[in-house]
Amino acid sequence: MSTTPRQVRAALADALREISGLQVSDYIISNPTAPCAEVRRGPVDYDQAFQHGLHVWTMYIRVYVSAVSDRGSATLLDAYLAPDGASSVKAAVEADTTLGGLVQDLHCATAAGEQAYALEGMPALLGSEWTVTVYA
Amino acid sequence: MAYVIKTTYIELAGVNISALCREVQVELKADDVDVTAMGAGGHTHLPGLRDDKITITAYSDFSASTGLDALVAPVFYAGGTITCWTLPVGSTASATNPRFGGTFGLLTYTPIGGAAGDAAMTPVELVPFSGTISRSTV
Repeated sequence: MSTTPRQVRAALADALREISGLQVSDYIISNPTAPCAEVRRGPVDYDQAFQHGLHVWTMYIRVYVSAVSDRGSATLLDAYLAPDGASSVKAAVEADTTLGGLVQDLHCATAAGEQAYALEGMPALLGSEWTVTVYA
Repeated sequence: MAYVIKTTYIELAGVNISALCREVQVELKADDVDVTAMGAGGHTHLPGLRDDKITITAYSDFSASTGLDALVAPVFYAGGTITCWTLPVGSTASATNPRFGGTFGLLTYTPIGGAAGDAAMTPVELVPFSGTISRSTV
């Protein structure tokens, strides 16, 4: 039985929970309370090896930090965007690139940088979105 | 009938490595021998000596005993031979699912290759020890 998206979501969320002060959801949050992170599912490339030996999952991690106008939120986002360090999203996700043996490998290669996300019924929130390629 | 390559079977040294492989090419080829006579309006060709090969492109795997490197590297360094069999769909040969392969020498083995951020891939080029790749339906 292949690894399921549910398992990958949960494992990525668990990895993010190592970042102190960051609330994490396995799924999209309808009413986020910053700072928080949610795991989103992107495209899937099935059958990248014969006999269903490898599927490539693209997963997204979106982090909201606070109101766009808040200077402190920009500083916090910088820490999340750093390639390493205790608050680095990339470092947290790549701390175990097999997610406890669940997948063959993963790579957090890109982040969208500073973004303002407009959510329904809420002021715009500063945040960013990371792309994680998972080989399962 | 057309089919999509998904469940192609590849066995190397008796180990099913299909789930590691992204591409395979079985190339059956003969030299082009020109036997054109005087007065001919164009070239006349005959197939000459065979020059078959199998090329596998696999995800790099350094696992002990059954990983690609464990299967291939000792053979390459020793200049030895290795068995390889491949079938279009699954592992059972039939009249509509022929098995290609035999015993091979290794011409090319690229254990490490790729750019940062790429999935590590390993191409392996196999040439038949006996000169030709066999084809069977049983």
